[in-house]
Amino acid sequence: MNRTPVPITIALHMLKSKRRSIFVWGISITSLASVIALFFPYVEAMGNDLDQMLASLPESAQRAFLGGTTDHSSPEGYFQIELFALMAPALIGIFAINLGSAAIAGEEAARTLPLLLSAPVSRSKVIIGKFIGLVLAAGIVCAGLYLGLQAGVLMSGIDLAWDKLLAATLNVMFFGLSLGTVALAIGCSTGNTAASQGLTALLFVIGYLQFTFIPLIDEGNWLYEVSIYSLYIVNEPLLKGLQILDVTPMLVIISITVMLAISSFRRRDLHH
Amino acid sequence: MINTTALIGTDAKVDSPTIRTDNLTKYYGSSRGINGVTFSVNRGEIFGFLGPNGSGKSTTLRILLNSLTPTQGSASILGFNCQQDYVEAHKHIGSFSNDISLYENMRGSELLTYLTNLRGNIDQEYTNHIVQELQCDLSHPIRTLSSGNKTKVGLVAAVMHHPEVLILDEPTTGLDPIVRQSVFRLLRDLQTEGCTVLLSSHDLTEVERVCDRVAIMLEGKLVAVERIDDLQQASLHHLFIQFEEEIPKDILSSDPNIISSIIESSSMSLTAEGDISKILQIISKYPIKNLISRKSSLEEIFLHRYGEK
Repeated sequence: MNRTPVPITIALHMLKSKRRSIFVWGISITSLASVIALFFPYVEAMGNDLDQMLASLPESAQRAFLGGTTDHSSPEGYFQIELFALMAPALIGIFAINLGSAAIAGEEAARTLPLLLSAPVSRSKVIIGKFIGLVLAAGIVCAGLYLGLQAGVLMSGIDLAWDKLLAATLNVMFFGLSLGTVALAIGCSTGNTAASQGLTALLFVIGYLQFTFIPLIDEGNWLYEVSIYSLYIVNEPLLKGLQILDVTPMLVIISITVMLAISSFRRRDLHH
Repeated sequence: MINTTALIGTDAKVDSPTIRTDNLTKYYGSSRGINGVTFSVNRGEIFGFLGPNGSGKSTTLRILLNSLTPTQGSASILGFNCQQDYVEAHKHIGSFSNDISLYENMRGSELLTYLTNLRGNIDQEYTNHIVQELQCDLSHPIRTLSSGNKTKVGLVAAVMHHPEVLILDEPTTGLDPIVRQSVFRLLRDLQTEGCTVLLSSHDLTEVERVCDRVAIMLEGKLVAVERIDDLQQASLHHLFIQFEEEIPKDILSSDPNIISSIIESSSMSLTAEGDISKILQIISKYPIKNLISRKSSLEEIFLHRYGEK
């Protein structure tokens, strides 16, 4: 009888043990996405007045809260401003950070890691399994986001192609996974959930502030582009669809952080 | 540092060492963990690992299980280096520590299925046999079980793959006597099957009951490796004697085996080490009304020998 590969066993166990959390996050994000989509016809009816009002906001406010667009009356602009500029990356980011942090540091704090490592399983395979679990969990929650949006779009009769929505959902999922794997790597090298969650959340907040405020202080400064948040927000999946080159930097970050996680976890003494 | 290599094979069922550590040293930053720990455990032996809290028992065991990397020295189990070949080593090792948690939200049966999927090749019939032997409750979430029942689940998880080596760290802490009895029975059954057991404990009574040899750790160092039989033979004797008449106060003053004695007119209480035949010869010269003799426990021997180090 063929045995399930060890990383898949670990990933499925991770999903099972986090099933309640995944379910609650999935349902919440699906509902939120549907409600936001259902509101679009009312916003659209306000026409150009709202766009003009948003255009009159200071540039810092536009960058901070609108993701760089003031086109609130088109479906693409509306979803960008209301969901994909801040709310979706923040929610998916928090979810992924929690999960990435729980993967190793959480098990270490709960003193269950020795039981897992008592099996003849290499530490590398444990990390690969945890990463697969993270991808699957983020995939489930992002599927909820997509389905909620798609349902709202269909019910409201919004003219927005399904592949553009899917592209935006994948873009935010890669962003979440970037943060999740950073949290995983910090957890693997420190065994500390607080450090893992705190430092990764700080990385997100600093990246967001960098993107928002550096151009205001120094217009020519390129540093605003060097953050996880700017790698996400500069892509325009709702307009251009999924461009592999655009998401490649996030995929590179994910790959590098997983390798760092493996490398640090293989060498480290465990706390328990 | 005590090199115990000379002891290898003198009393083992099969004379190849199953567990071997060589100059094992671990520092946590600048503070000491263990220093120069060298010992061997033979196949089929139940080897006790004794010492007070913080003496380095758990550190040694955690290096054997690859939770820690030694600062110096090496450890091997069945010839596999515990750090470099840990995956291969863990195919043959079972382990349980009172210090770890099981996945609390899982049922015992779900936990065993998970570990079975990770390990592969589990003999389900044998697992069922162990579950019955220990009367283990697998049907309820682990968080709802008593500590004794959690330990039983942990022990089933540790032995269900027929390990050749079993490493246990304080497995019976907090258990009631009935569960302890089940654990000891399990250990003896495993020993009969050829399993080597390394049992860390600070419960000397427990060690005395099941172990063949003991290593004694103090302040990060291995201070002795002794056979339980040898320890018991050299054990302390406590005697209380009532005589028919008053006896001289210096009756036993020259015997080197006497550790302490109190003589009050016609009664005497004394503690002596090793051979007490000479003492008995001397006191039998006086008419004895009553004699009570008690052999010391391993705990008393341990405290006597190592308590002040």
